[in-house]
Amino acid sequence: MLALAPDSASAQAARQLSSPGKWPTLNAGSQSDAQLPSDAQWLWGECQGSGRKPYLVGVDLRTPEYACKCSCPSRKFPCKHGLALLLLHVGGQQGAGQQGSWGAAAPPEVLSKWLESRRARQDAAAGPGGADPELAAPAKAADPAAKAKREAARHAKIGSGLEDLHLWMQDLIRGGLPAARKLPYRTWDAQAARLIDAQAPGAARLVRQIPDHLHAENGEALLSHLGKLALLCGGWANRDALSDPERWQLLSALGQPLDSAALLAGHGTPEAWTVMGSVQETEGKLDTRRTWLRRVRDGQAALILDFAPSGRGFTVPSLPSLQTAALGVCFVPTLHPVRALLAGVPELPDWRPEVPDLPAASIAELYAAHARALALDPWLERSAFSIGPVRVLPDPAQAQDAFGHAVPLSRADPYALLAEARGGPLNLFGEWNGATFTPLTVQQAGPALNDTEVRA
Amino acid sequence: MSAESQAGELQALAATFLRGTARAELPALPGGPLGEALARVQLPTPEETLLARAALGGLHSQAGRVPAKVQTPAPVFAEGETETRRPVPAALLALFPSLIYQPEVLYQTLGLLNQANLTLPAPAALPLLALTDGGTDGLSGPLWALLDEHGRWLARLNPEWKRHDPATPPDALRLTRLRRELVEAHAADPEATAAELLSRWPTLKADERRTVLGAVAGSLHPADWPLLHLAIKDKLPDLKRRALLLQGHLPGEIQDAVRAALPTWFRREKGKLKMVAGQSVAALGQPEARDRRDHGDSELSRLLGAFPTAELLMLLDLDVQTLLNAIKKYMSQSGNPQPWLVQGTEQQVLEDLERASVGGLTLKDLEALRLAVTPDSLVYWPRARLEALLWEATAKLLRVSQENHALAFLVQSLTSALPSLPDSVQELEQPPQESKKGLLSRLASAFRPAPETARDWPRRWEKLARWIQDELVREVQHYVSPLPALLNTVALALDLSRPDPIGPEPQLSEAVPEGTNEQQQHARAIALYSQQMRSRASLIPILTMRRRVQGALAERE
Repeated sequence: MLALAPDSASAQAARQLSSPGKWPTLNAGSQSDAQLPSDAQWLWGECQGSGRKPYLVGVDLRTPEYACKCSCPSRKFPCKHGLALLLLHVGGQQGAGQQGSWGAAAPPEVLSKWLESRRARQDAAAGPGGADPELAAPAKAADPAAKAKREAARHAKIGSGLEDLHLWMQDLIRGGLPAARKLPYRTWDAQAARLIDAQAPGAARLVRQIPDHLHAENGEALLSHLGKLALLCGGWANRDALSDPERWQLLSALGQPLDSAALLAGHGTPEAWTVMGSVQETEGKLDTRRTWLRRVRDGQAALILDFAPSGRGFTVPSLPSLQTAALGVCFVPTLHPVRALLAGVPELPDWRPEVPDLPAASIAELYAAHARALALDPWLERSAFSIGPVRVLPDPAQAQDAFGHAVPLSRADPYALLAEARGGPLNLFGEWNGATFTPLTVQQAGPALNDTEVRA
Repeated sequence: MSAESQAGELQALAATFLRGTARAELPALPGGPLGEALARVQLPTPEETLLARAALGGLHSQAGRVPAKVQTPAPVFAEGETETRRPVPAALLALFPSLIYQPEVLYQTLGLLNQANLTLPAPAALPLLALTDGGTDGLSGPLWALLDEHGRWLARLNPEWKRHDPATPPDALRLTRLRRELVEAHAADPEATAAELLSRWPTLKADERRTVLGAVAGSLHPADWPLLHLAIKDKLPDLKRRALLLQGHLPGEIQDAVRAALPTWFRREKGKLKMVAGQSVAALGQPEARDRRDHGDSELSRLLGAFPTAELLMLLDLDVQTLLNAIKKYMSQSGNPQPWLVQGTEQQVLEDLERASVGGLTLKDLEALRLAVTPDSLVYWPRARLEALLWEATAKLLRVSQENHALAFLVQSLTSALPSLPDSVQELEQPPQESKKGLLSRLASAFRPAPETARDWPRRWEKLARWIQDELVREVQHYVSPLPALLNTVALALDLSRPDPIGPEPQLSEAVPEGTNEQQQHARAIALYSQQMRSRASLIPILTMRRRVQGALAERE
């Protein structure tokens, strides 16, 4: 049974969950009203997770390949709860494991509909229509009512999670910073886990970042960070009053999944874009890859995000850096559109190894543009800019423009930049997080400036 | 709005958070646009109000940042004279990322590039400059020579790399270079060098005078007498003492007195060597040691320091290890709990003795050579002496009968040492002495060609390899342990074209009577030899890389 597990971690977690004590409800049923779990055609149960409400888990045993459905937010399939339910069932059948007390209650409506739809697809596939279920089952028209109902349920979950978060933050504010510093680390992890259960991973991420600010002396950084979280809670509470782009911005900050198909349906004619570079980071158990594109026509930046379970590698190959091609880029329609989706990636021969010269901003303009972006997206963590012409100061690593303004450089070898510059000024394209600049692409910035041109 | 005002509002909010709203009131907000905006945020509880105000204040603070101005101007490279050398070809540049992991080849490659009058562009030089962070002087010399003007400018910006700049060397490096130059010059022409040093002596700084004395100490010559006399009058006590002791290294009254006194410090009792306080030599002056515990300067250290270490062993009829043990034991009994932590002259004498122990034949002696032969050795010995030592070591390797993994390690060290000596391959001009017969002579004469005959090396190598095989069949047990390692050494240092100079494995000799112990030993030796030769596989990537470097250079030409 464990062979169905997507990875060893899921298998281990499922083993731990396959204890009847963790399952307040365990049911097995069949169309012939079989009383014994061994004759069951489907299983369903409720598993107590980290949230208030238990997860609803269903398993369809009628097909050779078992199918699972679970209300947990896991992206793995089958999830640990589905596997654990199967393990409990098999253990009971073989008398080897803990059987638990199995009932024969009818599955809740959500699971009944799922089981019915699976049955319908199976029947259609077995019929004269053909063996290919995709062909056999005509594209079912989306049920707007059901969709709205699902949406409402999800929104209720998010709302409940954010309400809890706001109350929890008020407790922190009431107790003050010294009390917060004494809290064990699991406090933050547990709150983040509750937000994951509430399908608000963006808020969970911000909660996990709290310990980074805990020990700053004056508490300003942590208070600002909590303010950012409070803004998420307030935004959600007032979401009906928001415009569509503002709502997209909020959903994006909450880490809501994008309806890629719907977004890409609206993409226009492909245009020339250049891949300026990418940054890969690991946060918790998730690897994130940020690939920055720049539109050749006007220098507009676009961010492509890819995610993968930590250490498993990305399923989507990386885009070729410093290459230009015609791409169908579709922005998420937020107030400050940066994140985008790609409507297909061209084949390698269609990429050209070129990085067109584009105007670069001074460092003062960088700060001003970032401030304007923050006004549109208060949760903005980083944006991409081209700064230049700049010269590099090696120790500490900084980029200095012709006006004497400087930004600290991160993840950059200043000597490599100086070597690349060959004595001349540079244009740097990179990520700016409001404090440090991470260069991704380096270009020579035309004729060298002399010392007198640097106005300190 | 000023940055101070922005910081003030957020600071006031944070001050409340520091104590917690359970104990602190919400702060009174100053006037101004932000203060007024914050004041308009009023929610049912103080906690909600503070959180909402923090959101606004934090955002305002983040968006209101202004860039810092840096007064220090960024470094600017000004193109100077046109570089006449050509850059390293691209095919060779592509090898550099791999070369970093093969120091033996890297040293050689840098030397070859310098000979070919090429330059290394700054981006390619950066990873190599980073290698010099650990103070690898042996690498920094040829690397600096390869840098073009831009590369040198860049390297001087980094405080670590700048230390290796030959143009502005730090004191330690400058003194090392001075000493190395003097060691060479003094060995080559002691009279001229001594005369020049004598004239320069009054203008030299204290550290330079110490360096000069240290440099001539390794190859003292009667021409150095005037210099030693001058140094004895120096105002520095340590310099005076050193000069005094060095006088004993030259034939004369002091040396005679020391020669007479030294044996009185050693006594044999029941076959064991024991040290006792013996005669002192008035000419060596009064030691500064106030008691026997002070080992910086004692009668013994003066006696030992005032006699050529190479002759010391002959005079006392002792081997190095016995002498060292006796000295250390005596010092330990004198109250020094850590006899290896000796200072001053004693340390100098011990070091000299250890270096002199290279003349021995035991594995320990060879280990001593391993420790001694480094690029830094050039501050003690002239290059010719060092190269002679290397050949001497190869000869000993052939004579050492012990099977010991340390030998392989030793040879590996020598392997690294050979190419790191500047131009060592090209300058192996010292002919092997007539007394070194057999394989060593063959090896040495085979690989001591004049530069114009270098293309003849492969043929010489093949001839030698055939001879080795013939020899091995008869005397395989004699060569089994050192030979593969030795051949690796020589192959790495000298063979530029042949990756695998050794042919088929040696066969069991028919001359050895069947069924005898001798035959069993012979068979075991062959098996071991074969096993060791197989371990040469680890050298293949190095040899391959060397061939690729050669190939890339040849294409350029």
